[in-house]
Amino acid sequence: MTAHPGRPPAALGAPTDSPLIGVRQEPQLLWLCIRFPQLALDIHTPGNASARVVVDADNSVHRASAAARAAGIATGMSATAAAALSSTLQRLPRDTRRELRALQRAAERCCRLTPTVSLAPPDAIVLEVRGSLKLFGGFAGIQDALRATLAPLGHAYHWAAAPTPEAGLLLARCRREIKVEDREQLPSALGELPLSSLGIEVNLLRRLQQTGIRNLRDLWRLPRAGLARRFGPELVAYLDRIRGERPDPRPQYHPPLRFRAQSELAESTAEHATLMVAGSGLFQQLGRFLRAHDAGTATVCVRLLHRQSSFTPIHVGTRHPVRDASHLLHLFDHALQCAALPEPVTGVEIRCTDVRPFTPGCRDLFRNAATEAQDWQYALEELEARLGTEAIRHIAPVDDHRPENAWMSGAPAGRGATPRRQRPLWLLAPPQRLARRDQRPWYRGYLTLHSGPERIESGWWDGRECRRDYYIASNPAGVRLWVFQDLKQQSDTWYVHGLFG
Amino acid sequence: MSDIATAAGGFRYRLWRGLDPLPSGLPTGFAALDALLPSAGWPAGSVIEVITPAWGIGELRLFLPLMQRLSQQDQYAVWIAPPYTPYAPALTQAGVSVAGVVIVQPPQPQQTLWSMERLLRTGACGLAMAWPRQPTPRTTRRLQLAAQSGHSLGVLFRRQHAGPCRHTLPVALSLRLDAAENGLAIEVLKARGGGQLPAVTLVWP
Repeated sequence: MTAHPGRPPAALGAPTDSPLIGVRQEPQLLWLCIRFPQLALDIHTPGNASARVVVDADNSVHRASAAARAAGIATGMSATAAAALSSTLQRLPRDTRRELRALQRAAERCCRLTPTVSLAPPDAIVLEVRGSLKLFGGFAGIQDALRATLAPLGHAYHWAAAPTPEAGLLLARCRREIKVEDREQLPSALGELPLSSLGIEVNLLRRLQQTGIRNLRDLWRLPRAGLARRFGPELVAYLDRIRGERPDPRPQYHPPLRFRAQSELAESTAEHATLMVAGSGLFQQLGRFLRAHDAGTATVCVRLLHRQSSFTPIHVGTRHPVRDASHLLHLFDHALQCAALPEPVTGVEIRCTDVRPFTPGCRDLFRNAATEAQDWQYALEELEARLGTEAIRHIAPVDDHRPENAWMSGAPAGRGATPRRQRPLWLLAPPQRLARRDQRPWYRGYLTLHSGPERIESGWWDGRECRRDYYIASNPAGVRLWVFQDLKQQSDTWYVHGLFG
Repeated sequence: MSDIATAAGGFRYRLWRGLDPLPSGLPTGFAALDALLPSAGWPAGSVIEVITPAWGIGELRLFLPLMQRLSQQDQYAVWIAPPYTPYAPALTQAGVSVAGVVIVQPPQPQQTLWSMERLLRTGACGLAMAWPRQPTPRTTRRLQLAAQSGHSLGVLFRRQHAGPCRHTLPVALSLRLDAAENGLAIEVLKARGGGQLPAVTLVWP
């Protein structure tokens, strides 16, 4: 008896070279690949039969519609050449983000066929369906379900099933709608496919074609080492992935999280307390959902359902993602108090599509700056819930010489240069025209000018030109004013633009 | 009483007078005013009232040193229902960081005091200034309690009306302002723990 290095010594008396009993061979995976050849076109008004092309950033045709192809337009042609072939050609820019979104929508629908769904951008998705065969009653059942699932999207598609995702994608790209069950059958199924269908870059493809290689079978006949040396290891790795000789892990697609819950009221009511009780249960459900997914939310839509009219929407928003049900309920309470209900409520529904990763704030044993900052945020959120989001504003200076453009309302991040001359703390927007008495400007009394003029002349480029002489003035009551004489107007017109509070 | 106070000199404020302990003072930035006020500055954790004959005579300038210091301490200064737009370039010119300035413009006037109460109660708000239409003794008491729990300063700006009849609000400090030559005349109508105080005239630097 010999003990092999690295292997535990076999039990005494047992034959050393017997095959292991009880280990079943793992069934091969079956990847169903779905490719949407016209996805780039479909995202722009699907079902349009006119001659259209989607043009890439480098001004070459990425996809052409059936009518455009009939006119002789082919993929890769320059957009100018395509326009010469068809006079009614419609050119559309390529939008990869919308393509990805369309792909995600398709993937989300396909999650009902199998849990293992992954995206293969730009235009395909792959599903692992071995585990679902029994549920759907065989592969034909899956195909039927797939057709029904994708029909509402309206995209044309080609499918292929193979033991490796790359092989499936290759078949789908060549429009061979076949199922290859076994890895052993792959070389014969793929051998005749042309090189141009491989997902490799154009220069490499051209070099391969120049050496006289026409299809995959030619490629597989060549020695691996030489192939890797001449054309790079990536090509060999890709070929290995096609045949399943190299692992090909794919990121799984996870559909976005959503929460929706509804609660029917025993009888229709407009009573605040009853609605709060119903809302409380729903928000607690939402809190549990968020906690279970380690997520938070910043927007929740609550719908108060009515019998006659459809519903009253109530928006509950926070400034940072939260998952504290009681805080959300508190904000809902404020918003509900301000909501006008057209008729009694028969049910409450909450929807939350904005589920985001949640980072809990640090908790300290003692009250510290972090909890104070959180208190502050909560207070502002409450104010927004009750007064509306427009009621809370930040201000910031802006680099502009025109006083009315030298500030903005909004994010507190803006920066502007500090003016050299004194500016008033109160701004009157818009400037108020001063009355005149005895040919002198009047603001609750005759004005006395103290300093000035400060000439501000700017803005000729955007149509809001200003040409003014600013003075600091005061009236008998002691109010210090920032007044200006408008030089654009012929007559002697004075305005007050601010108060030095 | 005044003899003892004079005798005690600088320790005048430490004498126990059978009143509530005076709140610690936030320096106003004006030496003459600090010397006058019983808490040697704005009384922290309370609500004060500023009565002015018109907006724009310098009532904001009185609080600029405090705003400047709060923005250095990363505390917020809130303006609730201001009569005009606070002008951002002027604030930066005065050394106030606009990042700490929050403006609340409630759609209905009666929400002004509710907003102020809510903001005073958070500890992060150093100064809440409001221009309410009709503050009543009852709402002011609520504001006072909120300011106490949040340890922040609330300022109610009011315009002086012609008639002699008006509410006396339960505030810690009530000031009446008047314009003066390049400055501001301040009359202390009421100060908690102060008794009768003389008027003072500030001259702008």
